[in-house]
Amino acid sequence: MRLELSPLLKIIGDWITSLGLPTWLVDLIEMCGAAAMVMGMAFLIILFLVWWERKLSGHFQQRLGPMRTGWHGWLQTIADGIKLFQKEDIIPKTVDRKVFYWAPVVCFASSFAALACLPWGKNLWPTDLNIGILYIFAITTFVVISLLMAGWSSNNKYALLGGMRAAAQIVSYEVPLTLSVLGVIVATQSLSMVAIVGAQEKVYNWFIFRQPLGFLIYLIAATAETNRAPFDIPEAEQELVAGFNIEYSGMKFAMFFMAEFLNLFLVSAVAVTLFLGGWHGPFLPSWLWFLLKAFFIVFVIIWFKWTYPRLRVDQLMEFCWKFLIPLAFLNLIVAGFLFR
Amino acid sequence: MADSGTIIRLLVEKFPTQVEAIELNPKQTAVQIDPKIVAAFFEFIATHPDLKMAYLSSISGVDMTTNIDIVYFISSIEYKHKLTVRTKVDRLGGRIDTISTVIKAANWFEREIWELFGIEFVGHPNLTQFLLPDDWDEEHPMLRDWTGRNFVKMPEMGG
Amino acid sequence: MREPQAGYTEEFEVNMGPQHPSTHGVLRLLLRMDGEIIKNAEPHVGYLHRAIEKICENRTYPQCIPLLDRFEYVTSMSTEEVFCLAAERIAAIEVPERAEYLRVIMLELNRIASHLIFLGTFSLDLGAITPFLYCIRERETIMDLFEMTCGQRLTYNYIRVGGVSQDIPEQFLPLARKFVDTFQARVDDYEALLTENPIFLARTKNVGIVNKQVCLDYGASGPVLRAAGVEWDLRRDDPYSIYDRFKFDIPTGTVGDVWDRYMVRVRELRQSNEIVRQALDQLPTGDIKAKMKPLFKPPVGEVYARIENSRGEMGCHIISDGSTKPYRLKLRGGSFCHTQLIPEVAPGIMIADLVAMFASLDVILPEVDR
Repeated sequence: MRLELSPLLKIIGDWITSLGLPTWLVDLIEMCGAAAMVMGMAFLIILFLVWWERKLSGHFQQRLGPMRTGWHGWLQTIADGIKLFQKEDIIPKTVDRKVFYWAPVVCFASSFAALACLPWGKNLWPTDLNIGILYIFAITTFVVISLLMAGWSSNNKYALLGGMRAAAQIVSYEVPLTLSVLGVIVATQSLSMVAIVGAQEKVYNWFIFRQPLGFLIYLIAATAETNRAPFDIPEAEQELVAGFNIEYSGMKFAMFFMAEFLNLFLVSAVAVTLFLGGWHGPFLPSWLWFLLKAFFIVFVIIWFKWTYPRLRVDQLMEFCWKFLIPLAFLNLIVAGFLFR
Repeated sequence: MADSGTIIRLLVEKFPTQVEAIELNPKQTAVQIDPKIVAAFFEFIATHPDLKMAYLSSISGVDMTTNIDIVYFISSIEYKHKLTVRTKVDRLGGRIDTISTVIKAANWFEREIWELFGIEFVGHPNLTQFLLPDDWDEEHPMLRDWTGRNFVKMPEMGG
Repeated sequence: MREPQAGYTEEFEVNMGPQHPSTHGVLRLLLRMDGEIIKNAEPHVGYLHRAIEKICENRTYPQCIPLLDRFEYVTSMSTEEVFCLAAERIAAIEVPERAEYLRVIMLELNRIASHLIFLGTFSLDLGAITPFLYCIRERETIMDLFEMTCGQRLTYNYIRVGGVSQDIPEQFLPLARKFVDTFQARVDDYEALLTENPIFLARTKNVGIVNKQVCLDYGASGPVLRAAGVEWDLRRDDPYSIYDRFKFDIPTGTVGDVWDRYMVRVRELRQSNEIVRQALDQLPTGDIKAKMKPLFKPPVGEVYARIENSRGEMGCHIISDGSTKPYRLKLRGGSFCHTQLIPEVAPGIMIADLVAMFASLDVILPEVDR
């Protein structure tokens, strides 16, 4: 398979090819290199987002947030990471060991794998699948499986309740999530992420103007998908004391934690790609535009969390099935007419 | 609104031998009743149209060394008058009828007195461990002669 | 191993507490649940039993006051007031004017502080984390006022038999006036964040209804009773201190659901603010303590004094045998009767609603356990 590389990466690619290694080895090195770059990017984003959420929540609440670890606390995530890394990995005796071990891995891996399909900038995407958006939605559904694995294997009633709630919530909100982007897909006649971005070159072409209802539904459903307030029932601290990850500590807990933030970035990046014109923008480099727009959507979602109270489980389901899904269908019908 | 004299008169009329008015410092409407009529008494004052006292404030147990006093404080929301009801029970093994069937609020108050003083409330739905630890195996702690678990009496102050 | 049967569900028991972020204090609720619906909730209390009443039988009257602070620490001033009221009634002591006004100012400021804590923890239990920080910010000013008067932020040891222990310093009045003037706008802020919010309304309207008959049966008092529609406030209906000199409304609700209890307390915040303002305006000069012997020895007597605490009726039954120590001291807090409401209201509701209902009852466990 061939990777699209921007000029700098192209030079590296050419040098590797010039070494005269067999083609399969060159391909393998290119793949591993791309994966490593995406992994590095993912960790950098997690680093930034954890710090940023704490700073934002502090300022929303009239306080300062982390201030001591580095300038305005920017090293806070590293401090947290070191703390979690050296914590004792407590595994209760009665858990189902295999499932217990694999749950955080599945969670993190599925969020991470979806990053492969995002267009990070002009000619800067690890791969351009022609079923891009479908692949992203499909692979992020593994998160549901991992939450159920965590809830069930913990052998704890609270965890079970949390896992069940999470599964019900995420599976329900997949429907309006997918329906809301169908309008965009109908307009661009393609599932490929690169093609969708390509169709939004001019600002007036951005799908947020052509599909405002779709954008709103997507934003709400995405907040529910990532288990964030006002839809954070699965981890409602005040009711279930951390819900499905109640028995996890140390590095396993860190993996769930990182996966949550990665998921948050992922849905924001998808929103940017589908509705806000991807990496298009004047003056600044394309990857910078992409990141700025993505972090703006992340900011809005964080803002939701620290403002609104939490919905009850049945109210959440009612909202999804009786309100969002009919609206999404309506949006699709209108889009079908508009973009014939 | 019935004043103190009327309340006492109505009560003594209904239970001539078992209720008597008593004087307390400071002045308040207070009666001493026979423990045997306790349930009928509270039923009466809750339903009588001039009294309507069904709002329970508190039930205390007091260890008077010869017997245990149970003191009920009850008032009326409609008429805003209040009443202090005193009754005497035996110290060890004392029994008295519960009023939690008449006034539901009495439930936990009586449970506490049972646990701390040892009075049995006949007919109470739930006389189980309440405030004390689960493994409490000594006597009832609020009795005046209880000495246990490192109980140290503070020295007397001057005067 | 049980054979799996089609359509077989089972009730299970969950322990909520004793360590749990949303039981306000150390309370263990044994819930029997069918999925998300609660079939039965049984409160187990006693984790905070410190035997205050027994200890106080062995302490002189002034020595009891710091212990009583810990009985209900969120509104320590109320606990001290009810005890001193009872002792003063037995000994027929008249408290000087200035001391009465200072007591009212402190009591009402304490009520505001307590309701602010309620607002914060209540919205925290519903998932809105931000109002908690705003309420704490306001409460800091009140803590500053208390600290400059008696040196303490939480357990004051300030109201004594016969008056108060110290006079207010000169920085007190300007800071108190500034607080009173800005507080109304702050309450508007909290209301803007919560009262009209559709999610908040969906979580609180018609949830956890404790109607009038249940309230009266179980001896509920304070905001819980008023939210059910009964206009009963001990400051007006069983008057004590000098509350008859102040004009204030008594907010009531209609249905007795969580929203009503929340609204009653928010409106009480404004009313208490008004009382503090009037008391600051009318504050006279004079003594702060009645002339008494150094060692307080009341005559023989027995009294039950009750005041309107932010949680309901707080009562103190003292029996005096003529010595320097109370023969029997019995304390009664509003939360004692409110915790009894849980087995009555819980069956048939979901856990999230139980959390909201319990938070709205504003129960402080030390009041229950003593």
